[in-house]
Amino acid sequence: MKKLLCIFLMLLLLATLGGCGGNTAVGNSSGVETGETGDQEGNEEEVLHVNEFGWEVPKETITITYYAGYDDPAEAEKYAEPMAKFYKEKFNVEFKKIVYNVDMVERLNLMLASNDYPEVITWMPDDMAERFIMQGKAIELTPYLEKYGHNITRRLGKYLNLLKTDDGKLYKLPVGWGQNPNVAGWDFAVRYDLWKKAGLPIYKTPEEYYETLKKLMQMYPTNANGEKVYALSDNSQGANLYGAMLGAYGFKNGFKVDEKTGEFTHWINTDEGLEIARYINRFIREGMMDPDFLNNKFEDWQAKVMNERVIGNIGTWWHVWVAGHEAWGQQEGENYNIEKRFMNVTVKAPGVEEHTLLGSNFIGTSRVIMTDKCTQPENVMKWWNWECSELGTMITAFGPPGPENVWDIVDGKWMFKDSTFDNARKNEVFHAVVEKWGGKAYWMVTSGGLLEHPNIDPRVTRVSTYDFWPIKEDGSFLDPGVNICWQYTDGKSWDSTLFTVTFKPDDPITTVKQTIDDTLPSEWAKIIMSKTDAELEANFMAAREKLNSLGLHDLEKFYADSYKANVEKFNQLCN
Amino acid sequence: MPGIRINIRPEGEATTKSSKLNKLFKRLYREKELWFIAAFAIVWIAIFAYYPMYGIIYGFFNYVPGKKLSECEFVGLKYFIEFFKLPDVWLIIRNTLVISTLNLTIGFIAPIILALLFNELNNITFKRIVQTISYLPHFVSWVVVASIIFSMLGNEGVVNDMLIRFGFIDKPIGFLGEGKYFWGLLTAANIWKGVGWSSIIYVSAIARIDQELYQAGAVDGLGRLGMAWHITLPGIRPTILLLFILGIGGILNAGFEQQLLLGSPTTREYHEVIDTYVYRYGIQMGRYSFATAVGFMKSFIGLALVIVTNKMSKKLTDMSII
Amino acid sequence: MRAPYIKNTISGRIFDFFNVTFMVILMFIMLYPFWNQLIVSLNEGIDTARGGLYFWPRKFTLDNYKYMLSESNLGRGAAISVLRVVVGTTTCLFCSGILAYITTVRWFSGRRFIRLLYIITMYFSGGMIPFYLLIVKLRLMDTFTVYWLPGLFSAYYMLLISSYMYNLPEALAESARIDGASEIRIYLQIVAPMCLPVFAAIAVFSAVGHWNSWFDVILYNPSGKWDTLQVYLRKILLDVEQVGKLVDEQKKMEAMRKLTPVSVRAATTMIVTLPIIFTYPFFQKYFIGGITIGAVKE
Repeated sequence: MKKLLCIFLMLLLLATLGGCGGNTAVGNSSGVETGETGDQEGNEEEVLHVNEFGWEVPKETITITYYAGYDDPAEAEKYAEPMAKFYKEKFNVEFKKIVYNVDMVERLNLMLASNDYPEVITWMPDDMAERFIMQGKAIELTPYLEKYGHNITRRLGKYLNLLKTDDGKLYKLPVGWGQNPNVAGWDFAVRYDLWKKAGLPIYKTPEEYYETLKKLMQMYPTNANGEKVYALSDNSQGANLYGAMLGAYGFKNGFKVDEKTGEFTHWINTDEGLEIARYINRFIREGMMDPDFLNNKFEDWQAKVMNERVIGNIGTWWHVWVAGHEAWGQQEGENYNIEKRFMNVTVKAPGVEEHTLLGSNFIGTSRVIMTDKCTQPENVMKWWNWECSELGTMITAFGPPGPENVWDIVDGKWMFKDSTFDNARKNEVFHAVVEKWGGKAYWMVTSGGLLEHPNIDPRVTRVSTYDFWPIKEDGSFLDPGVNICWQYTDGKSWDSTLFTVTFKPDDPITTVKQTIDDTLPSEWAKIIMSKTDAELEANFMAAREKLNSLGLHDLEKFYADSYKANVEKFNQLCN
Repeated sequence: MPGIRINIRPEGEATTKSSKLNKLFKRLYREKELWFIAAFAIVWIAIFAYYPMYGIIYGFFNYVPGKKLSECEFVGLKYFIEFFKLPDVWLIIRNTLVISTLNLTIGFIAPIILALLFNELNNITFKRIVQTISYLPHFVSWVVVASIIFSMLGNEGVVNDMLIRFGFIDKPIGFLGEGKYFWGLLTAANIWKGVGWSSIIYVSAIARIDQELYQAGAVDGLGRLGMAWHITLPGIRPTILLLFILGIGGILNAGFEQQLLLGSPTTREYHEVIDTYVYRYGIQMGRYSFATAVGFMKSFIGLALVIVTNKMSKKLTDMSII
Repeated sequence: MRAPYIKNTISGRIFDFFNVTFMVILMFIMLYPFWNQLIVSLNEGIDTARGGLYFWPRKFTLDNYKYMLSESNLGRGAAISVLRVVVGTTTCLFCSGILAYITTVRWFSGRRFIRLLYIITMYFSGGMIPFYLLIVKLRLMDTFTVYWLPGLFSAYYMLLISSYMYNLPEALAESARIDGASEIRIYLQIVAPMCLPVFAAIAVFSAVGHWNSWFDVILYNPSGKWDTLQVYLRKILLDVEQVGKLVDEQKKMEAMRKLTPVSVRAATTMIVTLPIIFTYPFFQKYFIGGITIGAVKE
């Protein structure tokens, strides 16, 4: 029996050792492979030719390894295949894109701790980029940018200043940046078919919106199955309700901004805030709000919308698209009536000059860096620069041009295929085809927002990395459904970039912000669930007092200071 | 259980030292086989559990992943103090303790009762089927459980619908939206999900009880209740005590996922617990040290409670887990 | 079947009636979440989004299963899962069992020390980063070993098994010792057979634990070479979670559109959970009947 034990333990030991020794590729598996491509610098002059897409094809293959965040590794590789082939053949460039099914921040921390990360990291949150920069693990980009990055400097312009450190150095670039290409942002939606049948006038203020919903609810108290119909519901635990309202009141990121004095006031400290609370409260007290609105998750809410139990929506536009006509179109197929959809409407509170329903943050929230493991910054920067060219952006977004794909280059123009103009089947004829060609598979640095160039198909508008909208010659949307959705949406966006605030992990204000973020939803819920006006006001004042005691005034000041600093930074060094 | 303390470094006078050492070696030699096995267990745990414990030190530094510890600022108890300065900290401690206590009482007794009831089933096939089915909810994720609970208990859910139809109430009860129902709801959900799973260990412990004891009990005229009370229950007492003592050590772990999924802004004052708080103020904000510090504090209290409870158990019942 | 020595009284029969009734209700309640997932998985995807599925599928289809089975490499994942369960459970059972055994040998001087050594680790750990670095250092990344080696000895199982061994008659073990049997032999031939029920329970715990674990798989197997079946389910569920974290509305919309439909998620749940559920019935025979240890009591 002793033998038995010995044998077992031996086996155990062997298994352990075998398990260790059998794996020689440990270091490489996490994708850090920088040595091979280090000698590219010498080949700069020997560039063979510039290909038809404006890329100087190198003699030796350039390989760029980068980490791009959360995704399924196996699927991502399969997805990128057509694109990889295209880039290899036409560009002589290869990518090793690393993704993991692990939360990006978690993984980045492990990479930092084990000092094991690739040469480029993209789609990382700003504070993680800062963490790499602070530890000296990112390369300063300015010299390379000056030499090779003209597309980047041209398209980002003064916004680059915002990304610089206080001493004027640049370590990070944005990814997925650009002006918001959307027509709608926050909005006040209504079921168009019901609204039209009722013959109601269009609403322009919150009050008129309330009246509209009230009338519609009286006319359609139940759906076809006899279930109760509500004017509104929600899937954000109540946050979208004030979010959209603040847009109608012209608040900026939740603050009332006095441009003259530079003062920021949080909405809970304003009279408008109280008005908004009263407004929402009325829906609840009068039974117009789905009683489960604080508990719905997106899918619960979608079920209610699909079952025609919700007439309106105060929130963001795409929710009612995805849960509304896209779902109905899919479900009802041939029988689908295009008027059965939600209409997104711009609503402005009386006396407000400009609404802020559609914000546009030019530099977005995602960043890309070159790490200190990068031995070929010139090559990477050249690639980034190509990717940031308009044609590069088109290819990155929609895949290689060609008669089979959704777009092609015809007489120098970047034309979308006619078949992609069928908006009702857009998922099938556009999104699915782009996916087949590996669109967006290798998206490292370029814009996600509005793309403008004289070569872009004149029959479409608002082209972005994600989408485009075909239009008629008079400028209206080609698709009648889209026209219905957006006929009363003015599409005016405001630039929110300078209102961006960075919270550093160990700054006390970050804890204050978190506390406010935690407390606000429950206080807000308490306020709007009030049974009487007096109770509402009391709850509102109590919430105001509570939040102020938690440091809301400090937060207001912090936002104001950040804005001021951003403005200064933005305008500095501009020639 | 008479515990034998081992003397790693026997102290004393030089003369007795050698004889003591001698004794020790003799003893170790006698126990060589056991120590040989133990050596593997000790090496293993040294590598996989004790070596990584250096991470605990991060709670006392302003640690940033990637930096060497020597480059990080030593902050002492800063994060421990910060935890107690968080707004609502007493609220979350209250919630943690209440929810844990409910889990440790009702939630603890339920699987024992279930195991006893299983034991009383006569038909073996039926017994096996019920046992198997009772552990199924363990395999369903909290997300699914939460969505089922919502569709059952929502304002338009089946439960409210029934209550209204039978005239018990005339307005739906907001089971999900009102804080006062939350603790009950959570405990019920925890039991639903875990009772069958937790009863397995008791079922196995019952199987250990000597059948002769029951025969002797029958001779003494014990009924079924009497047997359950006087034979079965004492038979599984070591297991019950063990799990209870370990449970006491986990009193500061009141769950995490279920709170996030079942809670809503209106129940925040009842559902927020230490773990959900630390998740947001530590991990989500990238404050690794803070999360480590609070984790350490929880472990410390947990282990201390285990040792104290164990002492009490030893005194009262002569049973000890250490 | 009830043991013959127990009298069948009237109150006993009434109790049996209520007990069986209770069990039937319990079965219904316990089966329900699972049943719910089953019918959702058998319902057409688009129709499921309308909600309101309680007891029967509205539009029956097998497409969700077909989709799942055709889309991914489930077979390989299942094989790795089975291997993990078998290797992980046997090694853990053997090691934790023998650990429990040596800590119950009364004259063993290291008994308390080892128990304490293990109990401490139930409460203190170094956190994710040091453990990750350890795995990297031991070169266990992307190996199968990482599944079973870090779980070889379990403090919790050790305590459960030893609470069971507590009070087992020592006479047999002692007499074997006098006959010169080695400890490992005593453990395997005398102690372990008496502990079958608890080993069966631990086997269920361990097997289910190994089958269900996913975090170590995605963290320590970045190459995906050793992906288990559970990972396929987790990836789908994690995608849902990840959408909630997106800040950018455009990306959110994109992600929401691509989200795996509820029905396919349910189908995956069924495919991934059904096999492991049968471990319990498999081990149940060790729970029933009980053992007679009176013979060794003298």
